[in-house]
Amino acid sequence: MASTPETPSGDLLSSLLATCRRPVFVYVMSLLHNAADAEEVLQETEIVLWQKFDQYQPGTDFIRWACAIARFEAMKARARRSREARLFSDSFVEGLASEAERSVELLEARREALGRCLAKLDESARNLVLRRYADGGRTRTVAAALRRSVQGTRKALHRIRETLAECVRRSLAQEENP
Amino acid sequence: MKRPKGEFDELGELTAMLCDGELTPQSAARLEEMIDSSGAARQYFHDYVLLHAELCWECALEKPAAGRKPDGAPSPPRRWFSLTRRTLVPSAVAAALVLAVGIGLWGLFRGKGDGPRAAPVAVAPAPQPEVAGLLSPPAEVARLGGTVAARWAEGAGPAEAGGCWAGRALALREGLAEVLFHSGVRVVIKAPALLETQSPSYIRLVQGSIHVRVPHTAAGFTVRTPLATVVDQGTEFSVSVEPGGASEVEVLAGSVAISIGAGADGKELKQVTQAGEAVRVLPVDRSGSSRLEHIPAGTRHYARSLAGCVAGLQSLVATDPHLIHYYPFEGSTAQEKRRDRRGRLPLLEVPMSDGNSGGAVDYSASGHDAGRLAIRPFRASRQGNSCGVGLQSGDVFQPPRAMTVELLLRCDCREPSENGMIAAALATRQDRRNCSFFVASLDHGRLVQFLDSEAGWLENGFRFVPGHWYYLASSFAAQGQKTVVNTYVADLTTPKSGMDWVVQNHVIPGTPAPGRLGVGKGFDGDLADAYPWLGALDEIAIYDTILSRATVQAHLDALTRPAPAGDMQR
Repeated sequence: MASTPETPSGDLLSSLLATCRRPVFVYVMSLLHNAADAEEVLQETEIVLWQKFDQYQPGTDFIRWACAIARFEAMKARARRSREARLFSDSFVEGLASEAERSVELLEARREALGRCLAKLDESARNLVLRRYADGGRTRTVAAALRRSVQGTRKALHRIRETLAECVRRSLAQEENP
Repeated sequence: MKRPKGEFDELGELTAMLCDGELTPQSAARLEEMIDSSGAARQYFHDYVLLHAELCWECALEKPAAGRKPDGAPSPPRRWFSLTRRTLVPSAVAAALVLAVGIGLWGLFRGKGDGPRAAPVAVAPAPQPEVAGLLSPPAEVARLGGTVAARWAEGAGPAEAGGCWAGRALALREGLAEVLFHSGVRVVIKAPALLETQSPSYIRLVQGSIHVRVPHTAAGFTVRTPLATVVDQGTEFSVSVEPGGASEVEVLAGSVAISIGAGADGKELKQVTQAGEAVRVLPVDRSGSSRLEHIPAGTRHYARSLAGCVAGLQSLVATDPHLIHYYPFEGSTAQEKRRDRRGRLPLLEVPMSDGNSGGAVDYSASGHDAGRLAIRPFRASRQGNSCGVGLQSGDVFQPPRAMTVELLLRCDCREPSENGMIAAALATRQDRRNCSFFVASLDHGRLVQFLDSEAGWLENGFRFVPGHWYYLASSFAAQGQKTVVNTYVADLTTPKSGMDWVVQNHVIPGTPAPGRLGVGKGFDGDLADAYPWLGALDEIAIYDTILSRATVQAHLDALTRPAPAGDMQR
């Protein structure tokens, strides 16, 4: 599970919120697939966590609690979308949510693995990833900036993601069975 | 286990389109079908999407060293809102990107513990101070200046010594607090509020309201809300965020630049708001765009300083051992607002003798310190008689032989034509003769009292200025069939006038009558309810003792003086 950041003792809410942001964001992204929507849900989740903080039992799994709230908020956000914009069926998204919940406890290990895998990328691939993700960019804008075709850029990014995903998977498997 | 080449080509292509936000409903249906039909496809999709989410998070992290501008202007925000609303210092984003490439991802993905860690990429070694900056604990960016009746959420206040550091979450549950940023900016927070002090020139407001005073040397101070970014241009302004994210900005002096997030068209809306103007930013609609609209200034009440606040009075009242009934009129429902916070005399709404005329008690009237709500009974005139709706206890109030009533009130009697008008703020009735009007006004604002309806009014020459808020404390010491009355009044709207001892040891016939406690109403005839208060009422407290003049003065001081710095109630 994620570690508590280096903050002065007693700052419980600060620490817990800081600890849960990344897992909650990743969890919500797994359901909504859109970073802007995931950020909105993260904000709403933080507000609810703050409002219900009195109910939190210190020592229990704050991240799981946060994810449960985030799931509810994500479904609310989804319900606000038009039917077309929802893309997937409710049952499909429910399935994704259950799968994402199982991944939450692996996120810290995945993070370290991802760091190692990114470091293995060559410079141009790493540069492309950063251009695509560092500023919330889109593949189209990255392609335009690099004067490359959108299709070619998308394929390149796709290959990099596949490489990284495979690398992370292997890295985790190796940790389990060294 | 390596999968065969091309096994998930279509799946991969569709998933990539999903990540780019370009998946059509038809493609989505196909994608769903593929995932549902194969466990391996489901695992592939899950891993891919998870990775995409992780990259979104990690790569959007702030790079503090790169983002900090040499002139001390605001650093780009931390992780918050950075994906979609990175509206500040756009050049810093590019700088961060360059640096991130330079230092590889070592800084971003620094591991913990003794686990394996990738070596820094040797493309361009990171400057040591910047790497150290990434690893060092957050710096103090502000300090607590003072509080009034503040209660922080457990573990979510300033540090013991009052320090607030970068990323510090502050959750103020009750009262007011002032935070002094090291840039010279002063921020007054009104509970309930949740915010984070991010840097000497940047605060993130998640919920609640703040008032910001920015010296010229700190121009550029930034407040981020879930929907908007407010950048100071050397000014004084207030910001509020409601649950759900709707935000309001009101400028008192100077101007601020407000930008709201990119909508579906990818464009940001920017607007400069001047002194005397106010805007409201509404949550994202279905088109993906936030909306910004002008609203009249002054519609929302902000606490601009720690001075003159009801919270200060409340902290004294609530802890007084002689308090027997207390109505601060707070809560989220009307029922809660009518609750007796000390005794067991909840209030009910009652229509006056001539009916309610379709009105009701207003539980959202403006309070004294512009940070509080008060109640305003409904009063109307029907064929020369008053009618309306006030509050009254369901059970009988038994006045102690020695008691003090204390309240905040505003009288809105403006017209000379209102001569002869009676309005009761606090009253009881035992029978036709034994009526007690503890606080009432006659004509257009003359303060009057009585305990025996046959003895006539106790008048003292004091008159309420229409629209002004007053603090009033009146004590009643029953001695046989008479009572010694003392009354103190202070004009809170013109606080320099001080406190007047308007009734001094005056002995009047009668004693405080047991009966239902009328709040914003009186009694007339045998059983009738009458004389609704014309104006607002707040913080009604009843004590089973005679409060000394010094105590009354202390209560008034709590209302009108700033709390000393370092008054940290955690």
